[in-house]
Amino acid sequence: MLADTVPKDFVESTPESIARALPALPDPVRMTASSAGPRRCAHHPERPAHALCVSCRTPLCRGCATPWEGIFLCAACLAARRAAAVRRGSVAGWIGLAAGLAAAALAATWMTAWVAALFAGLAG
Amino acid sequence: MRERLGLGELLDDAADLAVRTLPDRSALAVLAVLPLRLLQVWFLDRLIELGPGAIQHGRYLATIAGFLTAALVPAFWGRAELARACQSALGGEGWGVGRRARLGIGWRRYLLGLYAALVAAALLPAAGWGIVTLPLLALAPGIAAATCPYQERPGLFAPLGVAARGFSQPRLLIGLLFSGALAVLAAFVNLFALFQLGLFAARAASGLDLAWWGRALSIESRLFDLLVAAGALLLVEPLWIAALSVLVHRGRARANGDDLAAWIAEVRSGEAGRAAA
Repeated sequence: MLADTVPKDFVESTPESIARALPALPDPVRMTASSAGPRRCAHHPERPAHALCVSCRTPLCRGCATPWEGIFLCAACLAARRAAAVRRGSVAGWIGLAAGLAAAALAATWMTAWVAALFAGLAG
Repeated sequence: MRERLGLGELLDDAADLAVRTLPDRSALAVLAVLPLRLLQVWFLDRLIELGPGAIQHGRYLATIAGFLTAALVPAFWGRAELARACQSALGGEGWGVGRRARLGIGWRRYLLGLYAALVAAALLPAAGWGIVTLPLLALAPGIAAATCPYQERPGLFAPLGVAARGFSQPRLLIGLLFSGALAVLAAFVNLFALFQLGLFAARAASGLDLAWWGRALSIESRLFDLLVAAGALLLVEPLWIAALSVLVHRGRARANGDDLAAWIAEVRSGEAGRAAA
């Protein structure tokens, strides 16, 4: 597939021509090939694009692209994913806390009663 | 170089917070803790009454202990509200004390702090009431309340970690324990003397036979002694929570550099004021 799309003048080609020759390939690959090409960072137009945000497809420069679990994300999508991760952690945390509260309340009640009774017995 | 926080400075700030700046929150804390103290009096009275036979009445004692655990819920809320107000007053003006705090610890922080307090209540009796655990028994509920405004993450261990960091200044904590014990003793003596004075005045003014009251309010009356002790603890409670709150706040400020940031802001505002003048 790649061989069909590569132009004959491949050896003398510039990064722009390679990028034009790879229309069917996924965007991140094309962005790597065209890093010096016309595509620019969405937040810094003076900088060449380095990668695409996998989530919202925004072109990003090296400064804006953050690798997270092996993929590039923009700041907004990264914040959303991290918030979702924190929410997932919070749910587990609150379930653990509810169980802990119940166990601690029971333990506090029985420990107070039995240790006090034991202490009174020993003191007597 | 940053100066170390001294015990005298800590107690001064605590008294300032509990008595002058936040008297409403101190009253709220006392009212919230009152049921817990009365139930503790009931529990101890029953325990002493049962004596060596207490072990055969475990279920009866467990019922009272259940009430004690339930009373910890409002008591901890009162303590946490006072700690939150102290934190707000201390944080609002850098090192100064004085800004009014709004009510509301937030149910999330409250639950996290309550969990730490309940774990302490469960673990400390299990460790046995001894020379080492008795001071911890006195410190742990207060530390759990003082660190409650800093609780963030839910989980089984995260709230305990935040509470455990409250024990990071052992020198000051030992000093506070001695000061607290002295304050409770002084409050006990004063309360007892107040009741005796009232009884003496009533006898002198009315001329009635107050023999029953004389027996009820004597040092030989176990229930009266326990009630006066509970009253003394209640009187010291706001100061105790405020002192622990100041300790925790200053300790955290030193650890994360907030004290230096506040100092730099203070210096800059002073320079800006001089430049404007």
